[in-house]
Amino acid sequence: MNKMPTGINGFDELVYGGIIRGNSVLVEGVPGAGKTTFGIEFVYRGITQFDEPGVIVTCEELPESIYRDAFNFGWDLRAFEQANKLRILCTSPEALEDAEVNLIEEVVREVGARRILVDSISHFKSVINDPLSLRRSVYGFCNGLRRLGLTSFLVKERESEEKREYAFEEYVVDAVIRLENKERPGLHRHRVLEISKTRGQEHIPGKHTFRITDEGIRVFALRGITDVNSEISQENKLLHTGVPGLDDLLRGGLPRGASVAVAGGSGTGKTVLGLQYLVKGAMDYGERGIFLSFEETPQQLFANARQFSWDLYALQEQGLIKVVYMPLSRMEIDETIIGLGEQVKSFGARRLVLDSIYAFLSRIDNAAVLHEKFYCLVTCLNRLNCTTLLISPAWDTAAGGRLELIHSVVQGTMLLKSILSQNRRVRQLELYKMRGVNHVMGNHLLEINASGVQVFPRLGG
Amino acid sequence: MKENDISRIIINYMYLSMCRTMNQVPFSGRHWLEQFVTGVAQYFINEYWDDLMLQSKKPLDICRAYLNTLERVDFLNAGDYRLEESGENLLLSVKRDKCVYREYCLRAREEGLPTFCVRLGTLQAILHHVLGENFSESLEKEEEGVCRGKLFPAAGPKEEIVTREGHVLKIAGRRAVLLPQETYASLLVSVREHAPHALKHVLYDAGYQSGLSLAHKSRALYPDPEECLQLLLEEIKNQGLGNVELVSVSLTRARARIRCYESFQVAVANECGYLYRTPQVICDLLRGFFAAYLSVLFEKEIICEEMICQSMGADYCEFLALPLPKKLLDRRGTPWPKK
Amino acid sequence: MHRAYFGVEGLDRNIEQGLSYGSQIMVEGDSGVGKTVLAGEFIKEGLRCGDTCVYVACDEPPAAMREHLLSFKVGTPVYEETGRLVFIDAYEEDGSAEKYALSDLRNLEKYFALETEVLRGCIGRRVRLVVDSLSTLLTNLDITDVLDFHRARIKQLRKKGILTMDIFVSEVLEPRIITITGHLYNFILKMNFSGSRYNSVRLMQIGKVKSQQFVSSSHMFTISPVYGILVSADMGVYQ
Repeated sequence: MNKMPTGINGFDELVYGGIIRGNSVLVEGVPGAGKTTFGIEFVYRGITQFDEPGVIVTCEELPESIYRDAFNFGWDLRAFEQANKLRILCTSPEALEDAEVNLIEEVVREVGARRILVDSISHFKSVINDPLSLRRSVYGFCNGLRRLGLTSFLVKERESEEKREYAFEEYVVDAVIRLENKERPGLHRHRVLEISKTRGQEHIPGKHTFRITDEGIRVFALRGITDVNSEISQENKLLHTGVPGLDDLLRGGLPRGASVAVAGGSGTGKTVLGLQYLVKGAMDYGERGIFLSFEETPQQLFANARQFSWDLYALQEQGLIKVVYMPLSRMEIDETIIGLGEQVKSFGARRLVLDSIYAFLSRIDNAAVLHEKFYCLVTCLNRLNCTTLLISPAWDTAAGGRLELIHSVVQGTMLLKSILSQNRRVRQLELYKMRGVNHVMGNHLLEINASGVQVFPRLGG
Repeated sequence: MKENDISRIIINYMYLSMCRTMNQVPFSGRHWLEQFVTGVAQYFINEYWDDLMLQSKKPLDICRAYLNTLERVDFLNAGDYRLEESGENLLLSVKRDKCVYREYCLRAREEGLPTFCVRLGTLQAILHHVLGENFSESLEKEEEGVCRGKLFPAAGPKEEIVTREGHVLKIAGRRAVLLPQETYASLLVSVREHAPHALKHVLYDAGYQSGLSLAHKSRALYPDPEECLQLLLEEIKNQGLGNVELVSVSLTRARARIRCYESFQVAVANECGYLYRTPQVICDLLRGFFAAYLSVLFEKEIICEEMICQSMGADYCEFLALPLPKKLLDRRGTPWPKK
Repeated sequence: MHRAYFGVEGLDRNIEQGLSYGSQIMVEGDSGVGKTVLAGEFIKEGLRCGDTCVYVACDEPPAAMREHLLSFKVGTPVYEETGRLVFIDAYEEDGSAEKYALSDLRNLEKYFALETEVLRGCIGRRVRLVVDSLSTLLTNLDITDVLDFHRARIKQLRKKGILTMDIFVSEVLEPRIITITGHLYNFILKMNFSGSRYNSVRLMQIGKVKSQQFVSSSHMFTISPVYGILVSADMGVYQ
């Protein structure tokens, strides 16, 4: 199968390498969803990465605005035109509809184009009222492009987000990409992409987030990451947590690659435990680790670690620990998960602490979506053989059963508690669940002293 | 005398042979070797020495005159030897390859025999002859092929360590006895029978008390603590108590690590039975000696423990000595019995 | 197979086969009768036999045992430096200058973790462990907690082959706890005062020796500043 990679970051993974050559792709979405940018990047990447000249046909924008928009990403379209790599055709729908494909044919021949962007075909509708002839006209148009050996991106406006209209274009074209700009819990919006059809080839179904960055579009193909890297051999050796007493409860340590939720209210020692896990891992076992913080800044974490005489900064300088800070407001879930996978891989991290998964909970109100995202995250880390502590809010306070959902995805759950006993506040740890480990049950004394967290296994059965 | 003169070489062989023989003599080999050397020198002095050659009766001048006499008979080149005074001491240095006795000296070291400098020995003889006073010698470590030694007035009349006068055996001038192993073993067994709880205390205290007097005496003869310690350990060896070896010593920190191969006590246990119910360290007598020696030499209370014992299957017995913690001393006074 | 003894002549004479490493000794006795002196004898003997001795000081600071041993001319600094003698301070709580100190006496788990940590450092050696006194650690605790702790600990010590001496001060714990805990020990020694208030004597009595015959008569003993514990029969000739 002769595929044409679009060159759009992350998109080709969704279609397993690229679009079949000669196919026409419909890009549809509401205004501002990023359709034009998507199309321009398709043409731009063709020129710059694959030496495939292109043509942009626009019926609604003036070339000036296209140049300007492209220039925002640092793409100098004028230069390509001068180099005979690109033609921008600004015309009316009438001119296109008429058997004027010749107009396009001319410019295609001039530069030897392989890619074309038509922005947009919605305008056909405005000049042809009869549905049947409209359909025939669009069909003919697409066929004409194919005959010219062009792979095309056709932009189509959609009026509203809610209504899904299965318009005839979807039957005529070979592939359909829907772009959305969705609202999320809180003050957050995010862009979503879904491939709803690909003729003659497979694609990864579902909604994928994407972002329009300074350098163009970046698609976060979450599903893709769980399939890659599966060849990494799993080690059977247990991983020592570096928390005295905890390994005894675990009968030796955590299974490699496991993701373990560490749940507890504030002040139960979750973050310290996470820090100790990384610091001891680095110092005692020479294992690299990443601390991904959504809440505390690196400076706060460094100061926190110093209380236990752990020089986190020095460990970071030595390349053993990496503290990654991502403020909640800037966090994108899919992007974070994919970025995390990449960082774990490039840094060679064997340990990871994510503080905390409240960041995920606050973004997703749909249980199924939350489950899926978590599944992706956990699977990806598991494939990378990176043993992870997912710090999470106290179980009982977490909203409506969603936390339970997470606990069903992770391999283990540790509960940190703070109780009153004989008028003294006592910290306790319970291994609630640990898949594949015959762990010790019940509550155990946990202490935080100058050297960190220590667990004292309860005596007796 | 020519450098490769065979008679000089033969003299070296003679000393080497004497040295080896004396090493096999049970007691005081060094003392007898010294007697040989001064004896030879005495014969030479009787024939060739003339007090009139002396410019003064300073030890330095006496030794210079003596070396010149030796040069006159073509035995050596007096210029090879550098002499200087340092307080009461007389320092001598010579390039190793210029020394008449180099073959003896080097071979003796190679063979692990006790080192005794013949040149210093003859100078002792002439000093005694002229001044009627006894001098001791000591050899410092040589460096870059230069030998350094020193002569210093002996603290008291030179006392041979073990001597025999008819039926009376003496160690350091005092009457001594030679005990066969069985007698010693029987002594211990009797102590065990009569007071089993006291046995180890008896041995330790016996070692400590006798060690103290010996150490004080040696200290007077050999002011340098490390040399004195070496000599005391040498004496333990000479007395047949075991092959003792000083592994390390720090004068500043007052610590020492001593090993003993084939300790007498271990042999007694092997042949005459064990003194205790379980295998344990048994060389309390030696431990007492070491504690006493080091307490005298370091001038503070030293404790010495036997860490491993050959009787328990180790290759040797090892002793560790450290100062007694000061805090304790202050609070309780000296817990160690002093004579 | 190494056998161990107390290092007290009149007592050792009564256990001909000695004790095996991995045995547990319970010493129960009146306050001031000489349990700590016995512990000192036990340690002195251990050091001579090449054992590593761990002393847990609960009723006095570790320095007290250090000085006690030094007064018998045992060179504790030498043994401490070579790791053959280890002190655990379970007396001072906060502010202890010792390498191993128990910061909180209220949790048996913490004691257990510390003891395990110290013993882990002695793997491959013959070890004697003395807890002086265990009854102090067990006061004011729920009986089920005490028994859970006791069972788990004794099981572990036995598995590791640690020769243990646990000291119990009389009348600190409920008699029931003493009886139940006593079951797990191989050897029980009772020490107490007897006689009138003006003419009291010290007595020791072997209460139990597992799988060995023993004479259960009382022995009078005294404490000598030179020889330590002297069981009266030692003073005479015996064969």
